[in-house]
Amino acid sequence: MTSSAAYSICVGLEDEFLAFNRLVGVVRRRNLAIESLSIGSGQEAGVARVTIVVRADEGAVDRLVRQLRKVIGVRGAAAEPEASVACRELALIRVRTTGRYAEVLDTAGRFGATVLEESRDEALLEVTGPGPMVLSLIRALEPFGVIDVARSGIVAVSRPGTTSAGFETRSISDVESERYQSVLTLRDD
Amino acid sequence: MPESLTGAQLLCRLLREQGVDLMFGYPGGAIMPFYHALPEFPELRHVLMRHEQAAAHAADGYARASGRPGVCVATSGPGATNLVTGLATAQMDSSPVVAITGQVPRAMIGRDAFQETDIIGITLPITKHSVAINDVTELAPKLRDAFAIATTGRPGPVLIDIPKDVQNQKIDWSEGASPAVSLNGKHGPTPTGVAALQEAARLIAEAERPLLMVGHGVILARAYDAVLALAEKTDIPVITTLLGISAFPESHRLHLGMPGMHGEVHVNRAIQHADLIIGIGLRFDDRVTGNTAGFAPRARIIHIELDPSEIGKNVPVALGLVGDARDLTSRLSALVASRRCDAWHQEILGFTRARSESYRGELSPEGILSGIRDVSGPDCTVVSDVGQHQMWVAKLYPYNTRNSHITSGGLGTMGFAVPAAIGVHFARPDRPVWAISGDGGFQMNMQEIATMVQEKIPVKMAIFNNGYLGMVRQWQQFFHGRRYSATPIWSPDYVRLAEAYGIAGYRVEHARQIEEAVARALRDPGPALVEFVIEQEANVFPMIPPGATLSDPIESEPAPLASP
Repeated sequence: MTSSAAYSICVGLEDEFLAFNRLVGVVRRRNLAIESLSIGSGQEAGVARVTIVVRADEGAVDRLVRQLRKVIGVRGAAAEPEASVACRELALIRVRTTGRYAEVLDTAGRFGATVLEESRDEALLEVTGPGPMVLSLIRALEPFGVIDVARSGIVAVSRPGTTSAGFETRSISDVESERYQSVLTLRDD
Repeated sequence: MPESLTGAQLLCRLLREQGVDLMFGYPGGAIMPFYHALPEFPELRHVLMRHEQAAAHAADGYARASGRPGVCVATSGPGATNLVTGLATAQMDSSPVVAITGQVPRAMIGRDAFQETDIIGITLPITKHSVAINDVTELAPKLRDAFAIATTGRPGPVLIDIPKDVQNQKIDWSEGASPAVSLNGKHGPTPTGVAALQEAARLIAEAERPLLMVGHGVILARAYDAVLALAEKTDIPVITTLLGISAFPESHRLHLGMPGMHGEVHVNRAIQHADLIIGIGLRFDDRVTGNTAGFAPRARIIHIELDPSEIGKNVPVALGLVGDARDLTSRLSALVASRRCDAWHQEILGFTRARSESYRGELSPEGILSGIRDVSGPDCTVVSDVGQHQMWVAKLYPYNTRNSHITSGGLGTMGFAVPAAIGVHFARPDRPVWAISGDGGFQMNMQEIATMVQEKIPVKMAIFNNGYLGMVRQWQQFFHGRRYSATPIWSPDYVRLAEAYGIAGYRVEHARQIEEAVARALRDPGPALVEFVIEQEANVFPMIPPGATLSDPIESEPAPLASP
């Protein structure tokens, strides 16, 4: 039994609401701990890029990825452990500045956040960074009075120099036949 | 020169193009344009069922018996939701069913219109694919995709939802303008390398106690000859799972029986002692494995399976071979060295126990089933329902004809047998079809007798009547202190019920009556019903208790409870 760890699962999805709905269904009915789920565009036009951050053991993640690959509308899916991907999240934070403008700005500056807009008593901050950092900034701003927060969810790509190039775009059969060649040695005791 | 067609007319043309000549359905408001067009296509036979669930089961039965997609049709709202159990049944057993539902007009969608339901949303997790047609121009490509998706790769149900106004929409249609279906590489052939097959052959050569475990995939891939050849060349004993029954001749010296919760003791013992299991076209379901922690503790597993997500899902495998069961098994068969397993056969023989049934009356399930078998002959297809009788039908009937046993395995759908048998009849119109149910399951879909009468469908129905929901009662007896909560079940007088429908009906209470009743039912040109009044508290043995391993069967009646 392997212990649970965070994995980023990148999925290429044909631009179709139904396919997204199906994907969410496959994830949901496994009762996994989903830490983040985001959808946006990727490299290829017409193929949406979904990033799911999930905390689970390796076997559960592997089963999820194989189930996702079966979904009609899924172009490819791959899971990477947290260490092999770069993860970023964007957040927009509305915070009160009344009488403490300099302090707010100082706090924001420590996290690399910038002021997008401001009024007499408020500032709208933008920050990009790893999920925990974004959360730390929000916590740090809470004493000033956080009015609203929108977080994008995490997007991830594998790090430069790693062999993986995002989700698998090769045909399922190629991927699987390679995979099971390697399974050969798995229990060869 | 393109012709102007309505969406409904185009739908009928496309069904013909896909080779459809039969569908099971029920009309209603949102599907009326389709039913309006249908009489223009007399080559499309429509069977009016009495319930949409039955339409889905009939399409499923047709698909399983024919290997071709089964089609069912329903209207929006309640018509569509009634299909749900049938679609889930088809999904769990990988059956290629195409369901066509009407939907409220596009302008009404999302307004809680009369008979509107989000049937796409409802069926997403229980279909291989579901698709809404939002414009008549999408109809041809999406319908062709639907049939391709249902029938290729691992088969499964597909639902197509068509708003009423799209069925009425006009389209200029030129016959022959049909681009190839693109499935985006999802169902391409899977070239498992020769190295993996050689590895499998090596494992087989090295094994001392190998077993072949054969599932539904063998029937779906028509891998019968390949499996037979592999078994005979290697002398490896063959186990057939519930849905693998009739994939391998039961009279063959290598056939062992069914594994799992109600598997025979020697079959489960063989699994527990095996050092190699070659599973072909199965998913190592929990009813097969018992507690997976103690499943086949000495065995390495070679898993031959079309669906890559099944490999390693339920049990860890030493070697997974992804691809078509027939192709892979015959290639493996060519590679393996011929061998014998004499010592292993002797060992398994030693595991065999005398069959222990709790049967007290003289009208035994075994007697009934051998009566049906003797009178109906080897061509007969047996369609069973779910419960105690299903296990008896699986274990006590000698299946030597390919794909002659059809049942709801994965979902375990009570009420399946009677409507599914209607579909089986259309796939095998010249062969006898028996729908065997318990008194519980029969009452779930017995309204379909009317369909048989109206459409002249000569399905023969057998009811194992013990006055209980027997399998649940058995669990209550074994594991719930004999508290028979909600399991006694009243039945109507089935002979008079048959009479009311205008069909032949017989009641059998003694073993001596079996043959005559079955023979008369079979001789009758139309549908006929035979009720077998069996021992009320008979149990299915052996039984692996839930959560236990295959090593720990209950083999006989538990001691009666001490009186308080």
